[in-house]
Amino acid sequence: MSLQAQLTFAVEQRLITVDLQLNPGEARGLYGPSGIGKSTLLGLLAGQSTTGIKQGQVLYQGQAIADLPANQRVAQVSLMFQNPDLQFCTQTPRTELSFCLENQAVAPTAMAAKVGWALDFCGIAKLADQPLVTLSGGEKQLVALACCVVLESRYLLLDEPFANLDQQTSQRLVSKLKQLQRERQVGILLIDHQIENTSNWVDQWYAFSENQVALTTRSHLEQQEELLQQTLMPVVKRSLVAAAPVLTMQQFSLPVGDHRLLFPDVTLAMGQMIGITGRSGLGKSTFLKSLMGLAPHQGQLLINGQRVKKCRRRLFKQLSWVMQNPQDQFIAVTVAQELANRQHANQGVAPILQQLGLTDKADVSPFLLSQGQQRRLAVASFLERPLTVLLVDEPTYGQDRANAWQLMTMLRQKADQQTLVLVVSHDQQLLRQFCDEVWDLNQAVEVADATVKSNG
Amino acid sequence: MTKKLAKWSLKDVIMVGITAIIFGVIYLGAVHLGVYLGVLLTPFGLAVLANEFIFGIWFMAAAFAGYVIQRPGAALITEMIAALLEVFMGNFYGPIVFVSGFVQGIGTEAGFMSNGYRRAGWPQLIIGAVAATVTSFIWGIVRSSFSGLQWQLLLSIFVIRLLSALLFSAVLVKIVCDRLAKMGVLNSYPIGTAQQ
Amino acid sequence: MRQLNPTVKFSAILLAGLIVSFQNNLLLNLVLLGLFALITAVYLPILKWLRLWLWLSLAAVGVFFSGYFFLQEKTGGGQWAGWQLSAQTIYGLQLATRIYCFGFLGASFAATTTLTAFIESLQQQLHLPTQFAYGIMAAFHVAPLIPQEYRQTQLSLWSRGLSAPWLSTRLMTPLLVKSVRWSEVLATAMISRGFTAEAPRTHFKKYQVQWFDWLFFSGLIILTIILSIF
Repeated sequence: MSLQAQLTFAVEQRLITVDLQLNPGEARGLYGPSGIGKSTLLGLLAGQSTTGIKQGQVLYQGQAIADLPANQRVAQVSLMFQNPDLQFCTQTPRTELSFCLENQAVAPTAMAAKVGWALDFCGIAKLADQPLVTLSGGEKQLVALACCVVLESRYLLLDEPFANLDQQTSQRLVSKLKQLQRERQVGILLIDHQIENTSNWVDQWYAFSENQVALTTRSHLEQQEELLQQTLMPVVKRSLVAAAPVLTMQQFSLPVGDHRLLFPDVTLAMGQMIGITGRSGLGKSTFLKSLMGLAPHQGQLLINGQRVKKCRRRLFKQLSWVMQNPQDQFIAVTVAQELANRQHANQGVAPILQQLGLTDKADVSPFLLSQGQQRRLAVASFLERPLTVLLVDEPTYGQDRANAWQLMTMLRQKADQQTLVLVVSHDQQLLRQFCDEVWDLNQAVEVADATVKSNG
Repeated sequence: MTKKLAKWSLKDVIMVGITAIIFGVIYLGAVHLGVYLGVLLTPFGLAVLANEFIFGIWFMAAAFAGYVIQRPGAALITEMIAALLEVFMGNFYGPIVFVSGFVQGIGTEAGFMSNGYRRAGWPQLIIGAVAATVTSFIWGIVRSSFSGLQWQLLLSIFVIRLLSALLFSAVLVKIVCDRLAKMGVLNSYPIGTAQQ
Repeated sequence: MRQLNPTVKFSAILLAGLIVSFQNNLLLNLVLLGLFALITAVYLPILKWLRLWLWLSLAAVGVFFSGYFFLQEKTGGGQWAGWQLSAQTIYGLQLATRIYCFGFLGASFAATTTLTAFIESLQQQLHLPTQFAYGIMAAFHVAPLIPQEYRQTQLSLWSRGLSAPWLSTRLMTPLLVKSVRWSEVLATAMISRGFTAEAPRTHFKKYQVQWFDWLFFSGLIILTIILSIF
């Protein structure tokens, strides 16, 4: 009695072989860099499609999941996704849970009790009739979990459930998942890039390599990371030449949710690379936004000698923002055009393509690249533009060590060409290796007074 | 009709729905402009012209869906969905908008019908834009009771609307869709597979 | 109004609107205007109600002058409720009151109906296919993300040193890419919650057509027909 999958499946012309088993009441993880095939596998395990399966099948209690229609698959397995905004079709948590039960053709008289119980279980009974658009990311994820709970599936598959949550909310979600696992014997399989989220809980991990998925342990994964670290190229940090200041902060502070971030008075110059780190939800991204006038700040902020108040195009004359999701930034039809950036000199692009390992993809659409390639392309497309300030949001999220290294090397080179580079990342170790300074926002927090709280 | 509807997948419905909202948001950007322009033109009795310049944006969702999905009814159904969403997003004319949606959708649909829903191109989009202008014009005369107006004014309304329709729902839609298809974003739709 | 079946309410208002469309009847326009302005006043907060008047007035005044200046047959005129009015004024008023009439008819529907209720009712009364019902609902509920996404796209273009004028293909393309991506993600999520268009489903909330629905429908239609004849 378990979920069993002995499969060979295709991901972008690669074949991956997996032998996976999950028992009721057991929790395991899937680990590997973006684009390696984790989400594809999760979709196959949920029986959403069979395209890509070259051999083998997915069985729940001995029954092939692919043979069941969607409304019957749910009794066995349900899925939870990464993006909390794109999971719901109705207006409130209560109607969304009813929608789930209606799909199962549950008798209307039995619905209210089931819905109430599931909301209670997830601790969101008081949110039941609030519009979903008004809920926070964490609350939405709890509603998504409640949907899985109300469906009473035996197995639960989660695709990076913590990606958009702060630490506290992640822990709340983890405790609910543990409870589900313990009290209701639900089998749980989750994808995560940060194994710290589930420390003291998930110890068994399926680790992806190019063509295989093998079962391993948490401690083994940690050791591997350290080993890989030692084989990477050392970083050369140039010593600073006295350069013109581009960013000045004085008595700068930032209201974020129920707290406030206080910054020391600093002047930053071209050629510097600054890393910004801190817990999730603390305000790393908000800090970047405030530099562009997208989030309100207090105190003085000068960029290129001008005060930043509102977000205006003028500000972007010498400033660029590399967003977290590379797909948000592509504008061209081919990879080569994306890099050429309006200059028609395609020959100038060739060396960059080679450096990125994308020479054979020059005429392919950026949207058809793998996730890792997309990220490298997105960063590279900014390198040719003359800039005084470059803001980069989580450039290495979901990348393996080697890819992360290459991305950070590109950014360091950009800094050395007289640009001030500010990089936000949760990966402190990586930041320390490449940056001149690393700011830990955990130390900038001031617990807010009541006035700030009411604004949040 | 029910058979045709059954062919639509959930994904298609959501896609055209979101597309309709996107064009709606773009249109809203213009509405403010339209209001000011309308107020400026009011003393001359020409306020009715203000909206005509951006009228073509109304046909974009239908033309987009027809061109991408290439299936009988795609344009018409999309325009109806767009009208429905619009009613709930604050268009205070309410149910009557639904009739407008139907009339405009039929017009755009005519373009794709003209070659039996095979590969759509310039001719289909242009026929659609012209037909939608004609149908919406006739309905406009009925709805707003413009039949008593001088023919010169009616002709100006028609010509401006036609130019707007050609610009937005033929030229702009064609450029954007072809670009999306080349980007590989529409690979799961007929237009995407045709491009390869 | 809130208790009425959404489908019946929709049909009645639509039909009344159509009857108004196909004639030039100042009295009918005024009666419906008055009646539905009162009804909306009950359901809308006073400020919103006044704003509705303002918006409608902007459009109505514009149309009035169009009618006033550009009437083809300017001779004639007549008595109306004891006033001597020129043909131009009458035509202008006919056009302007029609705007108010549509506006208040429509607002009375929108103010008393939610999309969810309307779609549920369309499913139950008119057998709207389920993939349409829930697809439209899903699209509606991601609408708040679109203005944010519009802004984000603008910033991303600025970051590349490109301008992003309103209505440029450059700005529109990334937004449409999103609509395709989002539709895939949303559909997957809904299917993973057991949604299929084929299987029978139950409905938590039943929408039925009751006697007062018929009363509203026939009342409104008979009123408009009577006013049309006299």
